[in-house]
Amino acid sequence: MDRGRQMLFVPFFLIAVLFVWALYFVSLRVFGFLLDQGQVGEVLIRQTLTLTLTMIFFLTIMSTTINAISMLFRTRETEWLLAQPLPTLSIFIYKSIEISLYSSWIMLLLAGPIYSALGVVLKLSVSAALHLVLLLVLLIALASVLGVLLGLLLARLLAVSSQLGKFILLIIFLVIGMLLFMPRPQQSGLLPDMQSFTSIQIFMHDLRSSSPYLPGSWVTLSFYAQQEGNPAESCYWLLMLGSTLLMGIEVLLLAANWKYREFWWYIRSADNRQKKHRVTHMGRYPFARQMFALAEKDRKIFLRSPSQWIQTLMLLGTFTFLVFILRQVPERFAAMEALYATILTYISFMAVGYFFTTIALRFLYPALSLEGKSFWFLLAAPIQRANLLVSKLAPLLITMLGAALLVSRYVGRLLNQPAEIMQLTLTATLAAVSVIVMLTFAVGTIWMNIKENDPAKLSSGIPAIITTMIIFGYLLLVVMALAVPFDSYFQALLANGYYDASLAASATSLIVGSALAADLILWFTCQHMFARKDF
Amino acid sequence: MLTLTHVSKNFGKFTAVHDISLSIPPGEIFGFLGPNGAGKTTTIKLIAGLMKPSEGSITIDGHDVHRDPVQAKQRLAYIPDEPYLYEKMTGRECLELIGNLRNISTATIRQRINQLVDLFGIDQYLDQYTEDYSHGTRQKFVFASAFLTRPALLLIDEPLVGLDPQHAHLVKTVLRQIATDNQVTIFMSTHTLSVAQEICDRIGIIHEGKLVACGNLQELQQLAHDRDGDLEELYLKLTGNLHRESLVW
Repeated sequence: MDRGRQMLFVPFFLIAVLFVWALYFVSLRVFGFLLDQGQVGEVLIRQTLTLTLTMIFFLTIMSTTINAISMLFRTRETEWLLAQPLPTLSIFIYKSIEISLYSSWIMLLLAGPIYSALGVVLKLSVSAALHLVLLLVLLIALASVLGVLLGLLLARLLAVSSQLGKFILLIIFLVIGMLLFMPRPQQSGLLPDMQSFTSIQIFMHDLRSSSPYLPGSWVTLSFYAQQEGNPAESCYWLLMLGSTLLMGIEVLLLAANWKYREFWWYIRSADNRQKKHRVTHMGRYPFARQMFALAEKDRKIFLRSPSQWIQTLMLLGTFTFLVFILRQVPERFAAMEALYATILTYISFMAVGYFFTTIALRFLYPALSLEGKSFWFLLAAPIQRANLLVSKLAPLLITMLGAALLVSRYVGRLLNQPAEIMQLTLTATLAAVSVIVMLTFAVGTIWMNIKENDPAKLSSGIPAIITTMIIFGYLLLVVMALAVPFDSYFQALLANGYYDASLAASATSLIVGSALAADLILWFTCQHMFARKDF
Repeated sequence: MLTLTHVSKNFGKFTAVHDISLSIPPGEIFGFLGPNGAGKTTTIKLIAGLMKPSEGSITIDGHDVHRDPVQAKQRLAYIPDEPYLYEKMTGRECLELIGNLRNISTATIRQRINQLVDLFGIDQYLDQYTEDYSHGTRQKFVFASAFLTRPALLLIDEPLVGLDPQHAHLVKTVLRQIATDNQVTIFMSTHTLSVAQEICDRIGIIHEGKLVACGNLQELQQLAHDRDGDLEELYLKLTGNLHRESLVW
């Protein structure tokens, strides 16, 4: 590691530690506040726990699936291992453990401070805390096993035809389109009488934040059964989780023993079967030829790389899921109740932020590393290094901002946001996405690793994880800046009072101004480091 | 054409290249010899602009590689020791990309590709992804990409690795021809001493980052006090023999 990178690593690491501490502190305050609200707070904590556990479960499955497809079938290391005199099953087990660790440690790192804070607020005994840790580990292990199994099957399925990926993508687009234009379900009658404390409590308790068929709920059920002095039920849900995990491992090992090597050969030979030796030329460009040629190169390599395709499919699938969830929000939630409207706007902002963070980490962060050992091709060409960066960054930045504009407008429409709030959220989303893009790109450039050609592995490295933490911290700051005008707007709406629009203008100026400053600093740092880099 | 002035490169406390000064005129083939880890590849990367010197300067046709990189690189082509190409692009696309990056007209690029494909006998691979190429085929495409740009300075790190005898002969002939007829300067590092002896006008020997000898064969013989020695003997004298030349089996 060169001196510049060493110097940057220390503040970078400190920021990560600060983030973990801040997450713990904020969680402590939020859980403490909720608990102070009496029984409604307790119900809310329980619902939040179930919701976050379900999210962690699905995100771990998604991340593990992406990593499994690439690490089980596409990496050179696996190819080398399979050529060694080792049992295939041993290689599969070793790779599966590696995949699981790669895919889940960010979840443990993020979940750690939140659940530690929960434990402190609920004043858990040591045995109760250990019980919760055990449940969490089992949940993530189960998600990892399912993710590897799904990866095994999906990789085989996608190898059937080179057109299948495109076909699945088309279906996802159709589903998104259908969700976009379908009328919303009418659920306005669901909300309770907001003046009655008991009806709110019953309503909150009955609100479906997960399904009892999902393992995330089993963790909550086991944990709360123990808290409520019901060890038999607690054991029942713990055993349910444990036995499902054991069954998952058994199925995975059976499938691997039976089919892994066969699948590997099928998938590797599929690459050759599906190749068409057509004459393809680079485009003719009347101006800015270098820039257009570089952009065309990136586009071709992206579209021809199966691992990038699979990542795109999974992310679009997640987006469809997000749209589906947002469509379930009752319309009265968004339009009538100030508290719910504010919370929903925050949640939607964070969800959109999370979505773009994932995209940026998967596609922007490894952008320069994936040039790999072929980078000499560009570095020895008569083109300024800064222009190389611009040619990489510009198309990605424009695409991300365009997508952010569309997603933010759509989510705002789904939640029936008032024009003022939608405008504010849109501006904040665009500013935040620009920072997300610049930060991931800058960190990916500074900590470039041209020896690693697996995008999934690159996105799971330490710098990528720390970047995620910084982005989440930044999104929290943006939410805090949005809180003042949001609260003012909804309070005014509730009381039919005066709304001070200058608050929104101040928040917008603060968010946009700081985002532009951050973007410029990141750009110049990244450019400076890249110009000095040895290859 | 190529001038290195007191060039050094440090990696932390380790000095990979130590105070090298050289001047190579147009049309000369300069062979750069040295043991593994002596600093040959680092020197070539410094000239190609892939690394920045810790001290000193490098100019190509009067343009400093690190202060005026675009003008300097417009005149050079680089052939690395490992011929990596973009795996998901075809050979044709790689060659056209190189041409586009140097602003060569599309008609000229296509005409030169046809000529080079014919020269290296690689037409059947032209529209396949480069990930399917053998090492030798990739090496031929890398040579083709360098020749496509008609550079004034050609930097080659280990030119003949992976090439079959016919194509190794072809490369040697073409290098000699473009140096003599077109005044192309060639700076190449190699372990193949016979190649250096056969086609190089001057030879530099680098050892532990220092240029320990530089000159034509006669000058090197004088330096080593060995009038009849061939390049291998001179090389071993100047860089030191191995400690042991047998293996306990």
